[in-house]
Amino acid sequence: MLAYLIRRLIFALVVIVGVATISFALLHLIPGSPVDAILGTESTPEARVALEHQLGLDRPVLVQYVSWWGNVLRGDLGSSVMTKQPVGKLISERLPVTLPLALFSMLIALLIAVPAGIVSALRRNTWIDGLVSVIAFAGLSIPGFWLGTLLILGFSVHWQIFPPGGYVSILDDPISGLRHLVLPAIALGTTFAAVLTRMIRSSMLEVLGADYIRTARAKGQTEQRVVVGHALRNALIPAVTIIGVQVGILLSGALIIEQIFSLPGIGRLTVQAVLDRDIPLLQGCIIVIALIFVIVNLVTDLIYVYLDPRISYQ
Amino acid sequence: MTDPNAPALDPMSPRWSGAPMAGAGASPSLTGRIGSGLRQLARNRMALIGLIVLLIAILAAIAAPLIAPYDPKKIAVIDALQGPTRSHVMGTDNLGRDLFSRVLYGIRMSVLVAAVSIAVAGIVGITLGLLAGFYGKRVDEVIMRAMDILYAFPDLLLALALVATFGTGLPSLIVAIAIGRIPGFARITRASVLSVRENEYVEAARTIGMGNGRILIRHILPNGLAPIIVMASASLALAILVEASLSFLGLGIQPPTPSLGGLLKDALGFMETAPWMAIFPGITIALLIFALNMLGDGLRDVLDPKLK
Repeated sequence: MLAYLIRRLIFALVVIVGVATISFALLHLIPGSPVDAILGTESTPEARVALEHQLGLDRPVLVQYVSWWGNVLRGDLGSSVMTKQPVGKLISERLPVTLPLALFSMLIALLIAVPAGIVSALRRNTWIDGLVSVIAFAGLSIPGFWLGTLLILGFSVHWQIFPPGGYVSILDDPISGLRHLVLPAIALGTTFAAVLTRMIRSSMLEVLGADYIRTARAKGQTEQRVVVGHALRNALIPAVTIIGVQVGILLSGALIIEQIFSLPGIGRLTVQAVLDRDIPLLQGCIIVIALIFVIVNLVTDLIYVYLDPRISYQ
Repeated sequence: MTDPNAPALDPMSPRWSGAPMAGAGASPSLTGRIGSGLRQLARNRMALIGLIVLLIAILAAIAAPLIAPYDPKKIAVIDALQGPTRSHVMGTDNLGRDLFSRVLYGIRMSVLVAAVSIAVAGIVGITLGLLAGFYGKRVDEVIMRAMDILYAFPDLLLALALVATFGTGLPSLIVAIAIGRIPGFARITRASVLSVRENEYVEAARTIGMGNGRILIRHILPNGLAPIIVMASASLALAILVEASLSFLGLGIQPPTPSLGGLLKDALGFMETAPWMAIFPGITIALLIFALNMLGDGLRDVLDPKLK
């Protein structure tokens, strides 16, 4: 286990270094002058020189790279070209918006997917199973940003049950904070719910066909005990594994859902950085988002190995 | 927007199957297997529905100039924000442009961008996967670590980063979408190569002095094609989604050229007065992705039952 853990950590580190290097390279891959791309060709010479200096472009690339790494390792992600504020500060202000949104989305997905997946598997090849499968397929296919638009149309414009957007911190006002999170969390969590439903259904079907379930039934245990006590516990283990991958979907989704619902999270910050071609800010956002993705994948992998001792560490 | 159906994950992960793919060790007769696969696919109702919807979309994309009742860019302010009527079946937008015509042209752009991106990603990813799987050792290590790094980017984030770098426009958009899909193709091709490269017919080809390139193209690739086709179908769905997302954010296809994501973006300001502007383009995107997902599922059942 220790050898696996060490290999896994080294692997995660290599990926993070690679991601950071790509994000550093973005500035240098811009066709033509990066300063022109950011400021436009109408800028004053003074502004151009100042930006060149801020971005370190007046030094050799290798020096820039080493110095950039030195700064990143000290937690200094540079300053935004547009707002001049430190990138680290901007990101740390936005994470408390995105993280509750992602967690709430996951909670909603779990609340939908676990019962739907179980019922679908227990009623295999019935109309209920068919219905769940079609809804799951639809959930996979409906783009989150369109679902978000429809939710605003229905629950904000038409019925006025939930606010159409904006952000209230859950810590400041829990009720209002949650009301502001419901629609974006549903829009963000639907794909996750669909994937999870399909996963739980198929792993329940696999487990329900296992010998130990037959043994449990032969011993005369009630169906409820067989399902909840034996099948579900084992069927949920593989579900842990897709959480890592799904975090990628949630982070991608947040990029666009936060735009629709005017949530000032890291997703919206990233899109703004792209629209403004604020490369230092974009670099910071990429590093932080990829870091979250890599860490969650690492943790879910380790949890999976812990939960299922049959998994080889090699 | 990571591929929700992706079977292949991080190779260091305990979830990584590196599963030997269907076709491994099977008869190398490709045409025979394609024929039998198509017959099985025709028996799979969901896949068949997906295929039909997709074919209709492709036909609509090709024939858009012939079947669109109006010029999709023609502004007619006097007709603005009309609901669906007989003359405008999906209504009109805020500039009086016919929504049905714009949706048809939007499908055209979506299908074009998705098909070209996935073709590019497929060619590059399959080549890298073949090289990694066939040569192994250091080549494999370098290629696959690079793929792992690309895989650490959520799809839309990578596409956004590339658009920020190379700017908006069709070529940038295609590259931005394609790069994100390369690792999937590389990984699945590598797994296929690993599962078939020790087969007798590969050994036989080597013994008769066939070069590595010919062995890869003539013997290894055709026998590892099944999971690649499944991957292509899932990737097309994802490419359509990423294109629509980028256009929705104003970073994809630029106005006045219609795109499905761009049409949804236009609709945001008119949710109360003209909800059809959001409903029809959204249904179209969802149907396209739905069809590709169903087709992908059907293909997987037919070609690669181990991943079912």
